[in-house]
Amino acid sequence: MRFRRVVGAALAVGIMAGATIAVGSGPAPAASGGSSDAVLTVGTKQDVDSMNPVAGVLLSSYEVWNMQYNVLVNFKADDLAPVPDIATSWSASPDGTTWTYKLRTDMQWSDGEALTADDVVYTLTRARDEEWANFYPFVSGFTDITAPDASTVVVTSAEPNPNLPFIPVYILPEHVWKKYDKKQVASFPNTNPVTSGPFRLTQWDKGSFWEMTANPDYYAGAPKVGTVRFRVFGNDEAMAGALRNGEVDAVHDLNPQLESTIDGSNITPVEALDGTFTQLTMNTGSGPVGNGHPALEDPRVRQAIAHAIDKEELVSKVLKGLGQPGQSVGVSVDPKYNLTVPADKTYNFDIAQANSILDQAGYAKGSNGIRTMPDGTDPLKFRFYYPTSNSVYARDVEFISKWLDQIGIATEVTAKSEDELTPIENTGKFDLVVWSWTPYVDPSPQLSYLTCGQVPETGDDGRYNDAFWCNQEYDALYESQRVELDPAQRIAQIKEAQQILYTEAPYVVLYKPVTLQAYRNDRFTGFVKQPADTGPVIYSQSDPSYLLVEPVVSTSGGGSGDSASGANDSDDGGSSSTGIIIGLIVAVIVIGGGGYLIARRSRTADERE
Amino acid sequence: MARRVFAALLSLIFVLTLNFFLFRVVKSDPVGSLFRGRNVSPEAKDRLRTEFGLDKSLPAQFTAYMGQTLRGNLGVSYATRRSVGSEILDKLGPTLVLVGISTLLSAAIGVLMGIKAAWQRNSSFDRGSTAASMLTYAAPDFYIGILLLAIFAFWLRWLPTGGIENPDGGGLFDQAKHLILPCVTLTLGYFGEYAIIMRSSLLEVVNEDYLVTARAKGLRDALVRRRHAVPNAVLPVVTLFAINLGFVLSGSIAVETVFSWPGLGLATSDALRGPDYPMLQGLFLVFSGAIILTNLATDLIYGYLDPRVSTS
Amino acid sequence: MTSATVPGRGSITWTRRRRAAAAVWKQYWSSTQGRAGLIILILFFGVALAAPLISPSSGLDVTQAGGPILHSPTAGYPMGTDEFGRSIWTLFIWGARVSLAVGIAATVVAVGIGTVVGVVAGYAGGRTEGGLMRVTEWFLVIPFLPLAIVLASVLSRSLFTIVLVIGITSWPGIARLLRSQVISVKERTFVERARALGAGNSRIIGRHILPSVMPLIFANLTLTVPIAILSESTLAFLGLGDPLRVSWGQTLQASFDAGATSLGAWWYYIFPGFGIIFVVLAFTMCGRALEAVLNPRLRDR
Repeated sequence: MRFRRVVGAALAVGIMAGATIAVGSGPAPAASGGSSDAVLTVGTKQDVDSMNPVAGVLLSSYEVWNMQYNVLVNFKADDLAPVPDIATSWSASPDGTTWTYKLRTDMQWSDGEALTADDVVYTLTRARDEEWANFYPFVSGFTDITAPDASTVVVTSAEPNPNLPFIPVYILPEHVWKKYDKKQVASFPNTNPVTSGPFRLTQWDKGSFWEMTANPDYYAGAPKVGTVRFRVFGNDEAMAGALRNGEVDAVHDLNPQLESTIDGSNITPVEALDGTFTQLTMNTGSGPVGNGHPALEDPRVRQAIAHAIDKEELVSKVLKGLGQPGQSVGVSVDPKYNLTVPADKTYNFDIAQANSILDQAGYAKGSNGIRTMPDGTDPLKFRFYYPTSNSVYARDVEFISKWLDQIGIATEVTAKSEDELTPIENTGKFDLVVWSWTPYVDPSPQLSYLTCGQVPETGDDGRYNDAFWCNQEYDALYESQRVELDPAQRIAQIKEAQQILYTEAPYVVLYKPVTLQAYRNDRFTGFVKQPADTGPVIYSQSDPSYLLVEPVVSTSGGGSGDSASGANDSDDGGSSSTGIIIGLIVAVIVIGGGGYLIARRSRTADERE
Repeated sequence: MARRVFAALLSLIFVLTLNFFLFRVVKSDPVGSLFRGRNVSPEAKDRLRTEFGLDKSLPAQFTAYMGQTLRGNLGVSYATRRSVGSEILDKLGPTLVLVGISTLLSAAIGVLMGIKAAWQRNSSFDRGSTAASMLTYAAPDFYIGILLLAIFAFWLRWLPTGGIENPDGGGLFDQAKHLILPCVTLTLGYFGEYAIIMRSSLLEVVNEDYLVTARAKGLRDALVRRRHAVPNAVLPVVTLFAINLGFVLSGSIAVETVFSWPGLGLATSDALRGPDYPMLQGLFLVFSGAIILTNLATDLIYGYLDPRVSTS
Repeated sequence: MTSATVPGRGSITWTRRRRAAAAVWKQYWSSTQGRAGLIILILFFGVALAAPLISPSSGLDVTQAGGPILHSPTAGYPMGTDEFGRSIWTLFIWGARVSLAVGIAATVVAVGIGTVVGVVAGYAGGRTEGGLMRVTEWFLVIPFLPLAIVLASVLSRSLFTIVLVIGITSWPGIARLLRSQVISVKERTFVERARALGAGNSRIIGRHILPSVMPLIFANLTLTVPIAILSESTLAFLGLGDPLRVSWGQTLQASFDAGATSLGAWWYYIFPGFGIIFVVLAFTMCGRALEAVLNPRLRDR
């Protein structure tokens, strides 16, 4: 008896010890290489989905591609102006349809082959012909892509394209990619890529981390950090804790509510605006599809609604101050394209004014306080949807529906997953939706979403005009800016289009939410915001920071040494097979113990008889 | 025995079918939402729909699903784009550790408390332990976690606030420290059940004839208790334990969320944000499968050990 | 001698039943547990029902919240305020309405389905019973929380969904219990006599079987409501509840999201949490007292 109990106790202790050991073990990443020993560790919440630029879609993947590939013309850090990358100079024909790029002659792929105009032509042509999803919009208009010699590329379009010289397509090595046909190219993992950029991918532990080491032969000079390691975190608190403890040097997309937990003097927070805006979309009823409420076809109703939303309150109460109240629709990451509405013309928050607009327009309140159409029918009860992907939307909707109550509009609120919401929007079976958009640098895509041509016609054609809004004047301005080569003219036309959007209000832009980043200023210096003042320092358009960042030379000698070591897997790595083995042992012990007890019971019964 | 295995298989098939159809209730377009705001041509989207198998008819999708699942392919997570199977394998260990230890502890503590309470019926210990059991049972398990977290991690700062180890680099002692609060939470939540059942089972047994005989023979109280009463009274507790074993995997969902413990439970509540349907489907399968398997194993072991158990 | 098939209020059967009920009540009230539980419940239900009189629902409106942000309890705000400036006392009493209502509604659904399935299975026997019990066992195998999560994630996030989900996942246990009870009642002599006298199935079920299992159903109700309340709070905490409707679980979720634990805003989670604890405790105490009355074997506990 006593022996058994001792064994039992020993087993229990053993299991607990074994279990904790199992949890602790796990893969440790290889040590870094590169031209310097400095390791910059970045914390992120999103893993790369694919190292293949033709297949991946997530933001973290773009981060990798920015660091390991090149484009013809890149974006300047402070104002997104064109800067040379593969191309050293460029010029356009007088009518703007033919562009000629002169390329560098000293660029090399990581396998030693030279990067020539043939690679450029090959990549652009395939992207256009095979409609590579990430790049097609930028190349679809090219009729002719040729390389008259090894260092010149000529691109001809059917119409003038004001976005050139920018062609945001990562140039890929022809000699590697020509082995993959149209079907294979979208699925091969590309985890040992041949690249030309300042960093090379050296390791990827899916779900845990990936590592990029500096390219010592990079044409612009080797980066000042030898290794950049990205660690994937499962939750924000752990990521913030890692920044505080020095396990990571920079973080991206930290929950803004945790900003107060990283307020040491050695941490610099970056409240970045990446162009994203959140809007209230109203179904204005154009087109054959959908059953939006007729009241929303009246711009006065939409303007009244715009007056009934306190955007400052949303920023302060819902975003805890981390955002900018919304104004015009943001059509570009580049602030020079975005309209600033003069203060006296904005939809200031005024419930009384909203009510009077609706009263004067004939939408009288019924006996239950809910307004009806001017003929007394169809009470203004709107179906209001929002996606479950972000908990902030639920709070936005709560505020908005209460304000709408105050102006006599009732709402029926439903949360849907993004996947479910997309067909609901496409078929027009809604009245109000809160969602977000993130524009590109090129304003045309975002502008195009609200053109007449994007109004869904069949309910499953995947068009983007979720406001079902059609305005000929706006469409005309969109078409003209699309081919307007004079930058000042183009900007004026774009702003005029935005003014129409603001006045007609198919969207009410609620705010531009801040993405919170932060870095250890006592370890690294040289981070740049792109664009200046408001932009992010990492996860930006072209990620210039990684080339400029260098370790802080401090007297305490901290910095790179610590961050290079001690890289256990992140807190959501845990163990895998060892944990299962331990778990199985526990289960067996438990079941065996139970069986033992039952066996004892039977024996005791026998003893009785 | 064959009948039991067959019944378990039927249950598994039922779960698989339920799993498939539950998620078809949703009318969704994951490809459309994935490419929202990107100028992707309808042809490219259709190609992806074919890749995801979304263009097939319902019966074809069902057959594909059954075939894939039985081969171990649980699909690809919408959020991380990794295979659901490998995500689950990664997170299985921490959950097994947390829940395994808590279940053992709560059973042990509960049983011992129940024995003492029954043997000293109506004493202050008995009343106290019953009160404690009822109190912890009345609190949601995640709430016990929140209270412990507030007291020990944020106010007293004795223990870490979450995760499985310090990002600075763990070590055995550090991980044990991280394990304490979630483990205590689950133990507190579940010991009460064992205590109360052990107590009432023991009270029922105590009056049976053979114990009177034992006491009449002059045996000491403690001996009577240990050798005769307890082993016979422990059966309902063992039954409870065996039943709980299967539910062990899914029992920690809320607590793992409170403590950011990187196990299957946290994966479940993370998958809700989206929702990440392939992950939810895979997790549901794993949870139900675990119960079916442990039920089967328990049935078989019982049948082997105690021939009196009926084979119905 | 009254025939068991003659209905009517004035009949001896009903008088007998009324006297039995009175005896049950007297016994129940003599138990401290039962008394305490019932008083606590009356208190909470009273506050919940009187909510519109105590604190107007405009206090729940985020756009009209005038209080200080996340402030500890003061004179004007006895339970402190949340991150929007609303009084948590208002959230508490209005949340009580939803938590209690959902708990009861879900229990009614669960007991309703469980009773129908259990009674039919127990009474019909044979293949019907076999088939029904197999389905019941299948549902018992599925763990509650994952099934609830899956259902709540594919249906919309509303109170109706929560009630449905809890109801669907809780009925199997009740069905099993009732079936065994019905089987034992079925064999009793008065039922045989009724059948001999030509009573049809529905009459037998309605006049004899149901009244016999009614005490069991009732005791189960009192023990299922707290489980439903706990389930609702867990589902709300995981984010499956309707975020625009206040319940105790929803408030706990909001407090966790707002970081109340790390910010030291104890009032945000103490009050709704202990509301749940007290109500569940009260129901459990009532249930145990009731069980002791109806099942004399348990009385010696």
